[in-house]
Amino acid sequence: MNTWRNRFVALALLGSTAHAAAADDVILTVTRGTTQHHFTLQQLAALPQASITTATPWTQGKHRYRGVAIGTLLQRLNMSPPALKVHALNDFWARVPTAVALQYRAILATHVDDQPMSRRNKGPLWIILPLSEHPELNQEKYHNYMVWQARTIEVE
Amino acid sequence: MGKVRFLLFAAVMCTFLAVTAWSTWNYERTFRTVTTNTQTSAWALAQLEIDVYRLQETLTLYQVGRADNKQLSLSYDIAWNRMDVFLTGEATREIRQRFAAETLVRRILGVLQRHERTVSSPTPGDPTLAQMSQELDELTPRLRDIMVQNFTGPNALQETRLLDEARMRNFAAIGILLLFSLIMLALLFRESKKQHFLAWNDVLTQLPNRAAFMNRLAQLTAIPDAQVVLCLVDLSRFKEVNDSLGHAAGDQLLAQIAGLLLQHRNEEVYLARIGSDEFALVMFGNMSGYSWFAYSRKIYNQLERLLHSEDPAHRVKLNMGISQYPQHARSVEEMVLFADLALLSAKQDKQLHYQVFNRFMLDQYQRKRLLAGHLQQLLAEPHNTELYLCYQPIINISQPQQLGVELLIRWNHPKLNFINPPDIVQIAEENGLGEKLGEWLFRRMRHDIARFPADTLCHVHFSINLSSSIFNQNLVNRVSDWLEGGPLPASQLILELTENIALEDVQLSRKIFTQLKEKQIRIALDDFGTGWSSFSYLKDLSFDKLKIDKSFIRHLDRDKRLPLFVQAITDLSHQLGISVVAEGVETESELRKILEIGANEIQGYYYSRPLGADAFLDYARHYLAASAHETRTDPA
Repeated sequence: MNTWRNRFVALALLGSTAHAAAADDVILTVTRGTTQHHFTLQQLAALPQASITTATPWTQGKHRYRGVAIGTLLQRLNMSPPALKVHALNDFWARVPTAVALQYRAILATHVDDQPMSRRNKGPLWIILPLSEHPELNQEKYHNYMVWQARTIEVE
Repeated sequence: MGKVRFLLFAAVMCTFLAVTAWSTWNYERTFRTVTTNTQTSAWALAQLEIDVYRLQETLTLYQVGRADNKQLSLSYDIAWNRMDVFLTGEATREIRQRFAAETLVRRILGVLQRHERTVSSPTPGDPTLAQMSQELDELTPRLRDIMVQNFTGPNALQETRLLDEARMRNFAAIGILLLFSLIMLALLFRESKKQHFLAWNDVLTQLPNRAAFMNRLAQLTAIPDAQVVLCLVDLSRFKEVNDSLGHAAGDQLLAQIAGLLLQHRNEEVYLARIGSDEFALVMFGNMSGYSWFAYSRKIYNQLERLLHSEDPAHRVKLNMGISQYPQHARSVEEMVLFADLALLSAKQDKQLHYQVFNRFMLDQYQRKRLLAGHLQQLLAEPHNTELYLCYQPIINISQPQQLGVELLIRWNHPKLNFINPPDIVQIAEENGLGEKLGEWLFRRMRHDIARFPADTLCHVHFSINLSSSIFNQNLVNRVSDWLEGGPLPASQLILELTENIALEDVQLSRKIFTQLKEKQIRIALDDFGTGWSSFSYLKDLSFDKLKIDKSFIRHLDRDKRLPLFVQAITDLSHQLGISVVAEGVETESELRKILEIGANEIQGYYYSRPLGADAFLDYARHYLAASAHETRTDPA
């Protein structure tokens, strides 16, 4: 599988805009009722960064994921909802309890191993939980919270 | 047996644990296999199909100008991502390997990769897009096939089969557990039943034991207006059967008795074995009103007959003691005590071995209890006036310079007046005071004779009666201790014992006799003629004196047959070197007769009744002075 990944990385480096989002594209929208907050990759990168190194059921080996902690984002937006409904580009969604996100310091990963995550590799945003550090999270219930290609967060 | 049972229990427990552990592990493993990947892989495959179809759709729409670059790029990336995840992740490993799914997905991803350049800067009329569309169209039906196969094909059922297998294994495991649990329960049940039986029953006869008997009695008397009759059956001298024929024979006899009792039992009779040779028949209901007497007499007769046939030597004696509730006793304890008293009375009575409790028995019992307590106190104080010694002179015909004397115990009870001396000994023996009584006798004697002048004392020979419990291995040491410090030398001591004491264990008696003789202590056989009076033990045991019981002496002068016996005894004794003492000589003609027969010593009212210590001292002085005078004057 690594050969594929390498090939993919090579393609990504060719500089095609289709792979990684441009810095000024809106990649995250947080909605609450009618209000909307938009974030570009640049804006997210400007927020305090956190990282989690973990393996996942959908990847090979451990990788270091970096991005904004959900807690940090909510704090920045001055929100403390009970749950977040996270929608993905592929119309998948999951309801993530805020308590879980805060307790395990879940992040909205924008980078894997310091490379921006492309849409072809679960990017541009992937909710990451520290599965390796907390084996109790390694079950389907928590796997479902780890939405890739996340695009919109609906605050409830 | 206990060890085997323990090992069995251990094995059952180990199996139990092992099966539980294995079953849990097995289920856990299967559950994990099935649950962790089934849903994820099914979802991954379904989503993959959807995403590829969406890409195809967007591609078609783009070519006709109804979708834009962004939409095309998005569905392209999503499909790519989906396939990448499908080919990479652990969760989809299993489904990848099924139906050559991996190969197919790689080919589809290959199509996407080949046309990457076209998709990144597309134009709706580009024939390459049509080409890509066509390539995808060729591959997607196969994706569909895999989907259908995965959900409906035989492999789809594999998970169900795995679960089924695990379920069957669990059923089997639970079955084994159940089986072992049942075995264990059965073992425990059997064990506890056995323990319960052992706790409440006698193993030999299978009859209830004493504890069960007491419980039952309590139950029966607790019923309002209940009437209960308790009949105790005792086999006295049963030990002799065990001793002579062996315990197996004894056990067999007990089992036969139990069998006979069971055979005659009815629903208003409760049976128990409450002692080694004691049975209880409890009669209640109608039995306790009228028929208990006839019933118990019948049982008595039946048992008598059984004993007669099974113990031809007639050593074992059957005794029955009966008490009634509430006529006699007011509690269970009283009922048992009263039946025991009746039984005791039956044992003591030579004719009636069947006794029903009466008040007189209780009075006797209470009197004895009272006296026993009192006697214990008295024996602790050697110089009390209630208990004292009397001295009855024994005249030595052939050696008048010597005077014999027998010590007789007297108890002048403040309320009950004089207690019969044999009763005193019996009470002491029954209450474990035999040794104390012996010690008291010696101490009192030493106290009494302390004031005897030495020149008197040296001519007096003292006879002391032994009770059975003192007559043992320690006798010589005891007596030596008691004599130590004077003033009486051992050579002036005669110990009197009855034949039943001496014959209890002839071997032991012989040993004790030898030890006594080494200390120069003499032994007299008391009350000869009242018991077995067998000549054989005169041969086996070397007595120094033989005392002919007063029943042979009284009216000796008037009877024709008595002198024959006395003559024979005397002659035989003399031939064995045993000196003969005649007891109870009261008249001069009796004296003349006995002297004619040739007795060596005379005791009785003719010479003197038993005297107090001081009176005896006077008597001894006068007697010794007179005989000295006679001896001196005789030659003249």
